[in-house]
Amino acid sequence: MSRAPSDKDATAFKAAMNMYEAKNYKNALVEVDKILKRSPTYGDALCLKALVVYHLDRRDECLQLVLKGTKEAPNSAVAWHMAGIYYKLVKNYPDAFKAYLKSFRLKGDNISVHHDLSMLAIQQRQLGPLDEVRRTMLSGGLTIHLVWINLAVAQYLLREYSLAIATLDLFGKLMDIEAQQEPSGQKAPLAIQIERSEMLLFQNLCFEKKGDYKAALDDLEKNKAQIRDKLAYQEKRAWYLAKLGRKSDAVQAYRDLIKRNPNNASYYANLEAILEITGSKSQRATFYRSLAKKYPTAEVPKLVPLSFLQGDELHAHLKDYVAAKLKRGVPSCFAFVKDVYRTNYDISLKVGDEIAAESDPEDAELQTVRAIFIARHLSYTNRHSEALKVIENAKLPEMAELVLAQAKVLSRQGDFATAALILEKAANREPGDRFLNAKAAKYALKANDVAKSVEIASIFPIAGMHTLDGIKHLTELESVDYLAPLAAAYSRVADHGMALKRAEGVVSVFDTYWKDQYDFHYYGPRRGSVRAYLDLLQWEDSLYCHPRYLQAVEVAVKEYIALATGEDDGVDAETKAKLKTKRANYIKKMESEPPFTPKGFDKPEERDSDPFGREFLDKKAPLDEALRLWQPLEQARPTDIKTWQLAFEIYLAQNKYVLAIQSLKKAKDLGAPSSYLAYAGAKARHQLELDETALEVIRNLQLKMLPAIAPEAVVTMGLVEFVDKYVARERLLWADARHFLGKTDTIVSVLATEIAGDIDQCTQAALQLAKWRLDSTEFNKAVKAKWPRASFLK
Amino acid sequence: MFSIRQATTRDFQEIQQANLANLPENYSLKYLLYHAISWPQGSYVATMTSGGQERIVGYVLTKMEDDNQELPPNSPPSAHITSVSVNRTYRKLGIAGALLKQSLRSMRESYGAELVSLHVRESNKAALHLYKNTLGFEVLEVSAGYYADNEDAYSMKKVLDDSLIDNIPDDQDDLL
Ligand SMILES: CC(C)(COP(=O)(O)OP(=O)(O)OC[C@H]1O[C@@H](n2cnc3c(N)ncnc32)[C@H](O)[C@@H]1OP(=O)(O)O)[C@@H](O)C(=O)NCCC(=O)NCCS
Repeated sequence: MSRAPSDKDATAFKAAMNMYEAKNYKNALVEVDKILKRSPTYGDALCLKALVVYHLDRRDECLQLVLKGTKEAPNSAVAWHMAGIYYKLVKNYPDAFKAYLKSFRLKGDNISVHHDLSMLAIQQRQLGPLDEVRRTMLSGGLTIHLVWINLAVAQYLLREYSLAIATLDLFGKLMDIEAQQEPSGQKAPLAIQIERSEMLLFQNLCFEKKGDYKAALDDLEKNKAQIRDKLAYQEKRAWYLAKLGRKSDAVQAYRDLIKRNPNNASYYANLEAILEITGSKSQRATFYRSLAKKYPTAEVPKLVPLSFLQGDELHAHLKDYVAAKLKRGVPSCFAFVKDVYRTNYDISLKVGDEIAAESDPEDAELQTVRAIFIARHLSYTNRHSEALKVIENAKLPEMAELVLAQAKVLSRQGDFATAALILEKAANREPGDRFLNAKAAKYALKANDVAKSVEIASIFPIAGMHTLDGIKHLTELESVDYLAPLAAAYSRVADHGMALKRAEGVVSVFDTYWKDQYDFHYYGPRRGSVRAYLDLLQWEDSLYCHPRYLQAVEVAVKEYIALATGEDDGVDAETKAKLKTKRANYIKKMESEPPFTPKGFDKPEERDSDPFGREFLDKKAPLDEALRLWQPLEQARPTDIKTWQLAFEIYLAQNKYVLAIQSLKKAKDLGAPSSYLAYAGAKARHQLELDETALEVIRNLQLKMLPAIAPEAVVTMGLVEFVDKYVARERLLWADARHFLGKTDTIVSVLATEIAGDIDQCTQAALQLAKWRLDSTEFNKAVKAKWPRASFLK
Repeated sequence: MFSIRQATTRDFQEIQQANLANLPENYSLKYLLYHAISWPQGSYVATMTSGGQERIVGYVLTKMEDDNQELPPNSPPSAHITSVSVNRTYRKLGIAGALLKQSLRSMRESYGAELVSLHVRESNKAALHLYKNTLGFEVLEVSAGYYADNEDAYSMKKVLDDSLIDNIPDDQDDLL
């Protein structure tokens, strides 16, 4: 326990603090070093030194100083405050929150601590402390707007809607008083009007959340004149009227909204519900027919009937709909009707075939657009070579929309190479169109031609003269829709360093997305747009559910496990050595080139010192890294089977059997398929039996847990026999099980006979067979017979 | 199902990715969130829902110039179109036009915008047609070398008035 500082130290500390606050960091450092020389355990001074050296760019010293300082002075509000400032500077918001909360608990009257703690508490979604500190701020007698709004936000998040309404009422009165202080007769400045309008709509949202629609409607009507956001007014009013069963008013309100935006599908759906016609096909048909007549350019009223009409009526409507689109030359026609193939396959098939049988128009563009539709129709109904023939007969073979359709049809037949090639050509013909460029880059990934893809994806960043390294630029631009599939493609071609580098790049984009919200805890309420800010919080709360995050984590977990277990990737040593030399030469060459200065910058761009992801391959504990990436999934996707399948793989690789089996139990409870559970059970038993580090008794205990997951036989039968019996339905899992059991003899022939019809499975199997170094001749022959165009066979 | 609706803050990450796939001028999410929270009424999306999944196929991002330090004081409230694009296969269906009309109406109502301005590449025929012919923008000036690759931009503007509101008769034809 540290002693209280001497008077001398305390005075010197104050002086150093003043220098720091005046940004006089050099002198502050001299002063604080003097103190620490006398009293090396003076916690406040240690923390102050951390902040001072931070601003002198000696950042690697900071954390140690902060940790030591708070350890020496655990009861100093000042030390914890400074620690909090440091953590906030480095965007470590969880630790910043803890430090600020400590400081606040120790000494509750520092206004600047209040302010920052209020931001940090919401960043961490710590609603209790949030409410507490925001109430404290108000009782401090502060009348600035932000304090009021922030308190109401905290109450809203705590679902204390009545309290939030009361707070906003008081705030409204305050604003009224302020408005009266304006020179009389003048309208409030626009910015104030806008803020006021937003506050009223936020308060109205509180009424709605309370479920008191009557009060919400009254409130809305009362403030109509002050609400500038007319769309929000109209939408909310219509919604409340509907909720209150005021049918004729609600009908009129939705009709007005449709008039305002005849393409908003939800208005039509709501109107239908109010009219109570959703149950009657004929009434719905009449309803949409009259609206389609009134709004001839709107898509929605023409489109909706495709979802409920049946039989001849559907047939006629679908045919008219497609014909009209083709007559106008709309290349995306198929996308608009694709859902009908799901709900009414037979009629879609018939209509599509009838259209295909009609004669072609003279006009070359219209003929080509028709070919696009027919080809997609044929491909969707599994007539792939006919689809390609139609495309070959199109009059404008270079029309980009046709090429896009062609690429789709080709990939459905496994010909990723040609698909990528024709798209690349199409993109080259229209070098200004980034849409084609992005598609070409994506298709090159499907073809596993990663180098090509990277070259294409770099065209725009480099042409914009932002950089020499297009992918680095795309990472800075947070282009996760490209980077996540890129990571997956690197993983497929066994480029482990790059797969990890790109996957980790995606993960860090998501971490940035999460940290990005911090400034808005201040800016959103200050700007007044609380509704938009609350939407931001909601979006951030489900951030790590994002499919691109999942995709990146799946890649990284797989790679880290392979790294930890030393799994064979099927690439021979010679190829690896060659690649290594090539890369070393590349790095040498890069380092010898003069630095590049992007347009508009005065400093050259920083070079990527690790262009091939060596850093990740050198990780000391790859499985810890895997777990780190997995953790957000546990929070964000706890009911997704995939989350627990990944956990199982990580824990198993760590030899943490109990945790692995518990993860399987979760997967089972969520409805994981029985063949998967059998597969995983077999994998766990197999590894347990091989694990010599585990004690016999413990091993037996763990084995006993398996029958809760998989069929009883998982502990009694021979494992080969077991997987042949219980996993066989999932052929790829079965093959994997056979492989880890070291019984690969039948894999190739079984896959050849059983999965050749499924192109997606074939694509995956081809990769696996190569990785396992199995002779795939028989499999390749079977796939070729079914899919003569397949380009992915090794 | 197809739909055009006002964007919410929750849409902006997907808008970011759509922008990256359509145009060379891109934005960090943080900038787009700033956009979303500063002018929540200005941005609209066109979406396609298939198999229960809603996907953005087009968007428009519109802001007010109230953060533009270079504008002379007391200039009339002006809107600015930051970005608009529609996925290639959905073009020429009137989507961009519809998005822009919704957006400009909201900017006028919510922020009292009296003018709207934008920049467009000199070579961008589709966009020029859309702005000039469909929406009635005028060319103000040519900004030489405006884009990163040195292409010139047309700087365009349009006066906003109530003619934005489509002239649909208030009859009862759409009643059952
Ligand atoms: C510019 C762009 C947004 C237009 O989108 P869109 O949904 O196809 O536009 P619309 O269907 O609403 O068309 C509006 C008008 O432009 C015309 N038009 C559209 N594409 C055209 C083209 N390639 N050539 C000539 N005119 C074209 C339409 O015929 C329509 O005219 P009309 O009102 O006289 O009938 C779209 O082409 C695009 O996303 N391009 C790439 C991104 C881009 O350039 N954005 C603009 C940056 S400033």
